[in-house]
Amino acid sequence: MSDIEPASTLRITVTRSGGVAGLSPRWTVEAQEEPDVAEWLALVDSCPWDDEDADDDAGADRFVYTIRVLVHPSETSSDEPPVHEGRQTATAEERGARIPEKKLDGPWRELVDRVKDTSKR
Amino acid sequence: MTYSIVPPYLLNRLATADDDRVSRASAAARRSLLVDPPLRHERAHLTASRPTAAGTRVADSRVNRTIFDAQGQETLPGVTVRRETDAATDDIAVTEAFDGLGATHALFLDVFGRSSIDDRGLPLLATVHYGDEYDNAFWEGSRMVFGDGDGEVFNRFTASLSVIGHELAHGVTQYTSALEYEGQSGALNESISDVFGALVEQYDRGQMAGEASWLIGEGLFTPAVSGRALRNMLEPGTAYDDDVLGRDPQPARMSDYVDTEDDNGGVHLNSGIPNRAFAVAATTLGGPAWNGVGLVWYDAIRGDISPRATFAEFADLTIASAAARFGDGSPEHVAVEDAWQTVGVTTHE
Repeated sequence: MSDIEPASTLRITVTRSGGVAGLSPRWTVEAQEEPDVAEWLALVDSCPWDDEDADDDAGADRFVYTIRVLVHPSETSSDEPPVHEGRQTATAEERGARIPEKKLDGPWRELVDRVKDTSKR
Repeated sequence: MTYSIVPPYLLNRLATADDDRVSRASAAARRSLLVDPPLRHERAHLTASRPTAAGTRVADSRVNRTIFDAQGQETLPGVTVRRETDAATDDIAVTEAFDGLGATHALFLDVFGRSSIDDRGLPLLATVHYGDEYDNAFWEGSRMVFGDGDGEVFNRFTASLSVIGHELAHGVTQYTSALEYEGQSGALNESISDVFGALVEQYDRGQMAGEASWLIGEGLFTPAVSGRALRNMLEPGTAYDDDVLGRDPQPARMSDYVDTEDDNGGVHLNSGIPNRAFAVAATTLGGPAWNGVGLVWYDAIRGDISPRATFAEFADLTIASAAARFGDGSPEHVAVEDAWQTVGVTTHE
């Protein structure tokens, strides 16, 4: 995600599933302006996206966090051909990870906490 | 900065308070936890696989609780705040956890002849005040952990006896059926925790099946939420209907089974189906649920059950257990068979 155009939009969505209540709250932040986008991307890039251990046993009633990051060109700069339904533009980037609560530490924890705090503001 | 904000819990209207929560009568006088275990219902092969020296049974059967305080951190176990012989403190979360562990231990010992969650007198450990505004309670593999709730949607998680029983029942499952926490076996794991959580509450209150609420987690929501509880076993999908939380998404029959990747394959959603089978059978029979269908379910989780059991396989096990314990064609046998039919789970018996 190092070659992001300045006029891009960033959206980060955190969904928490599991827990004894079985609720799935969701928190979303969007950033359109520099340096916000760059600041969020730095945090996103610091997370160990490749270390994800999908088979990790979360444990009964523990939370599981699903994190999705979507970066796409802003609408004003879009002169791409129309997008087919269900597909992204060629320049859009998406990342996703599923992190059990027990593994939510370091940069993951910082990212999730900042998304939660910002969306509550 | 420009942010599109989607707050998770924007509480934009006050809903009717749940008066039952406030006026809940204090629990009936606690049965002595030091009495000898009643008649045991152990199966021969289970007893044989767990040799216990004669004479240690009485000692094993005594409840041994320790409550810890995480003091708002997410570090376990926290500091010890109450041991078994200590007097009560003025911390309500500590008291509720201590009493809830006792009520759960009492059900398993008095009714099922089970000495603690491992049937070998395992000390019961719980940590309260875990995390900051932490909206959950969970079984950690060797202890129960309770958050204080955020105060907007959730109260402290020790406030519901059915939730305390639910968490400890995860421990019982760990030592018995070891149902895998994914898909149908995961939903059965969750359902069994709801079943025994509800039974702990009913036994503690001396409630018959017909007068029980069949709610899991009553009193956990703040008055700001339009909802009575987390789940309704008798009528899944009706526990809450709130502007912010949405509507209780639990299915009530097999044709509405939810396929999802979240929540380990919807274990907290699809548990509604076997939950309803239990509640329907229990209310059909009437009387104390723990002595009827409760015994049937307890036999089933200790019998020849696969860790990856499906709903249909579990249904067959409970029908066979009902026939074995109460007789072929007994009211219990018929009620269990009919209940699975009611929720649309096809059985082979």
